[in-house]
Amino acid sequence: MIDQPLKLRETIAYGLTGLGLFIGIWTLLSVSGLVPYQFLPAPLDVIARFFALLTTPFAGATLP
Amino acid sequence: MIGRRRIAIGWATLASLVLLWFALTTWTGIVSAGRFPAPADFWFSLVQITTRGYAGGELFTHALHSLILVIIGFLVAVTSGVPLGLWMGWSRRAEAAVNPVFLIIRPIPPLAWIPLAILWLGLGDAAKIMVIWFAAFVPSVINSFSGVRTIERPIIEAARMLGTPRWRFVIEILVPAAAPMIFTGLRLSLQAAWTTLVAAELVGALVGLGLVLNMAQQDIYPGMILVGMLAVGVLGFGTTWVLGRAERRALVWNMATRD
Repeated sequence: MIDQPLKLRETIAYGLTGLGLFIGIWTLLSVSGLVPYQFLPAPLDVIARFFALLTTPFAGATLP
Repeated sequence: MIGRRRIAIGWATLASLVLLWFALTTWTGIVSAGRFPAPADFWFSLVQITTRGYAGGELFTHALHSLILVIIGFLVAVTSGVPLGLWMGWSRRAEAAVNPVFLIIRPIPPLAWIPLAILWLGLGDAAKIMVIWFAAFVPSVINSFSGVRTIERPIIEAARMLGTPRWRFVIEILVPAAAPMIFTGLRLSLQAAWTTLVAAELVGALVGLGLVLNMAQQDIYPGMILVGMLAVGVLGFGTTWVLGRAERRALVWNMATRD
């Protein structure tokens, strides 16, 4: 049957679990070498690149 | 009677559009051939691609290849998207867990996946199927989810009160009650699949209607562009019609699907 609505705390907990699982699998695939780095960079590298693009231009402009 | 009238109106509209096309291009020359092809140019291009071929194949070969890509991408999207949507609609926990990732991925345009798809799967058909899958996946999930959430509460309560087993609830209540919304999602998915196919085939295709359009653009060949566009339109219409028939068969109880 369709569940009753969750409490806010539960919603956040499940959301973080799902997000964590997604990022965890992504990291595992990238770090383990199952998928080569140039095809799938690790999440931390993507975040680092995001911050770098805020100040360093790429393709003629910064991200903002 | 209503059906015949509808068909007659449809044909009359089509005939009016063709007449308008003749009037604007051939008879008056208001629209020059460089801007929009005349019916004769269109016919010449159609004969050329049908008999001698264009862009490495005849129209049938291109159309069949595109059709297969769309059908595979659509089927993969439906078989993954509908169950996910139903599960998210059924379980609040599943919704809470999957929604954040889905909400982040959902706004990414399908075409933005093309570079990664090519990197991961190469220039072959797999990359195109992945892009089509993504485009068709999102509407399937959203509509299946909404279909479950719009099931009237008394129906769920009655099933609960009668002690309906879970599997029976899913098969006999959840899926049939959500089916009209699921089919709406399938229609949107199919449309998204066709829209994305042409863009996906613009990159690195050896055969397909997207390649025809791309090559005709490079050759500055408006007649062939129109042939490619119409071929996509006709195939899209055909697949939508087949889906509509399937919907009417599946939802015989639903008044909204009847004439």
